[in-house]
Amino acid sequence: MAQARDERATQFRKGALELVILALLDRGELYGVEIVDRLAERSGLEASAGTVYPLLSRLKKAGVVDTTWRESPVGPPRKYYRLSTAGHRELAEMTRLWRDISDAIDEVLTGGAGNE
Amino acid sequence: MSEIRTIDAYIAEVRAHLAPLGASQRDEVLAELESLLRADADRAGEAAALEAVGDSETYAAGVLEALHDDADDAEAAGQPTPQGTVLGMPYDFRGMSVDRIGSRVWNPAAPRIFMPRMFGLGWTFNLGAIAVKLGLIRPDDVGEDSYERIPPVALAVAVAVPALLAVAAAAVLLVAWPMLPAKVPTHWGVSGAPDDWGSRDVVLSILLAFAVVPAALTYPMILRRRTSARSRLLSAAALAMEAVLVLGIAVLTVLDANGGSSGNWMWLVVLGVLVVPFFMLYVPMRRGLHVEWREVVPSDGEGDCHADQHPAERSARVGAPGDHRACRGAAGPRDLRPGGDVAHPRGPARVREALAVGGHHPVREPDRRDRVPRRRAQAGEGGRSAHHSVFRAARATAQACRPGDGRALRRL
Repeated sequence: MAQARDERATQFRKGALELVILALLDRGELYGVEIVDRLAERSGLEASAGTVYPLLSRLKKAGVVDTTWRESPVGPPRKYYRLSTAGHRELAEMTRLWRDISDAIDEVLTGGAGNE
Repeated sequence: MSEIRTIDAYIAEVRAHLAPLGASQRDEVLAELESLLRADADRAGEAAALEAVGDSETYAAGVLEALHDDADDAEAAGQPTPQGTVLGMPYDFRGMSVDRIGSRVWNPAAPRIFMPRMFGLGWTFNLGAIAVKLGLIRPDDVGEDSYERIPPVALAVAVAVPALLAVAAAAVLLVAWPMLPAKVPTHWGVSGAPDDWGSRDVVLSILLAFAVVPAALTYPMILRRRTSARSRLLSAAALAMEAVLVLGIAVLTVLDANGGSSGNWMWLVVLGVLVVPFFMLYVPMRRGLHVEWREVVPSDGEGDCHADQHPAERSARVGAPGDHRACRGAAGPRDLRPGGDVAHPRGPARVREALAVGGHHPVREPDRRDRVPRRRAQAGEGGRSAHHSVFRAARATAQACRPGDGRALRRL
């Protein structure tokens, strides 16, 4: 039972993860581990590195994020991610979409308007 | 194209738009469309039926989208998608593709070490994940465009490896052929001694074919001028995996042909199947990364500690977006780098310039600690002494971070 719940939560999170990562990057550039850490700070949004990294490379390929190498004193240079111009557009679009959908779902869940 | 009055004309138009589909699939789609339209026309009339399906181009586009192979897209995005599974074991008999090599044999972003085989039944090793686990690279160090930065010499050496292996295997077989008895070993037991034998001519012919044919089929593609560096490197690595195995088996067959056992060397062959492609992929990638790193924008030393160790600094960063702006090159109030505006033009453009000259650079060993001092020396000579203090600060921060779990940090 608990496992089924976790499984469902994972599915929900996966869909929203892209939006969350874009929103995090909107506040400033981050490197991979930082993104994983930021997600871990927010309970309910934790995602493993194995989920985040493939998603980042997909976003990079789609031109939604840009990357820059920056020197790191504790190892080789790190790859930092930031939103591209297309990324800002994508974020605005996805945010609007998210609000529409979540409002509509809330309405259905609370049995409000729309009942005939 | 709006005024189509008959179902036949409409279907002919859809057929034209569906040209990219295979003939049998297209006929199937069109037959289904026709039966739907006829049923509709019987009820509501031909004109109304045609009205309801919309224009032929949109309809065809919808069909193409619905039939699009999602598996190929997933594979290109680094998500291995085997053709199917038997008893929980993945299998694939669709032939090789570069994306399939990239998502399975060299996929550092995915933490799984065992990946579905590219061809056949079972699993293969994700050498990219192994490199990450060994702390050699970070999961996101190598991107699609990193392949283009690999120095031509490193790429050429890697591409030559499977050819050398194939030639070596062919040479071993051809030289030994006349000297071998009529029966040669075809199978080895756990002890390393041969436990099954077959006809010399058949066995050696098969081995020779396995040594030569895959290389002969793949090299024309690898050597073609317009083939990308990524395709060349990944194809060569996949080819080498097979070539090492064939060379190993050829050598063992020859050594053990006279009845004796040269010992249990199969483990060495298996190790070679892993190690040779690993170095073929890792070394050129590393050199490509060095090209990228040579022109790295210096960081201002902040945020380099792990979050858990400096919660205060971390929250300061979260709360101060201006900080990140500074990183991007726009002069923010906390931008410690007076040369910040210089930093960006020095970036990718210079890397490309360097490559255009032939990509010939002295490649340093992957010593991780030499970077900061090296930068310091450079900064000092340019009169940009502010760099100096920044790097000193960065170094101090680094040292403060290090005692705890320096090794773990360096892997991040």
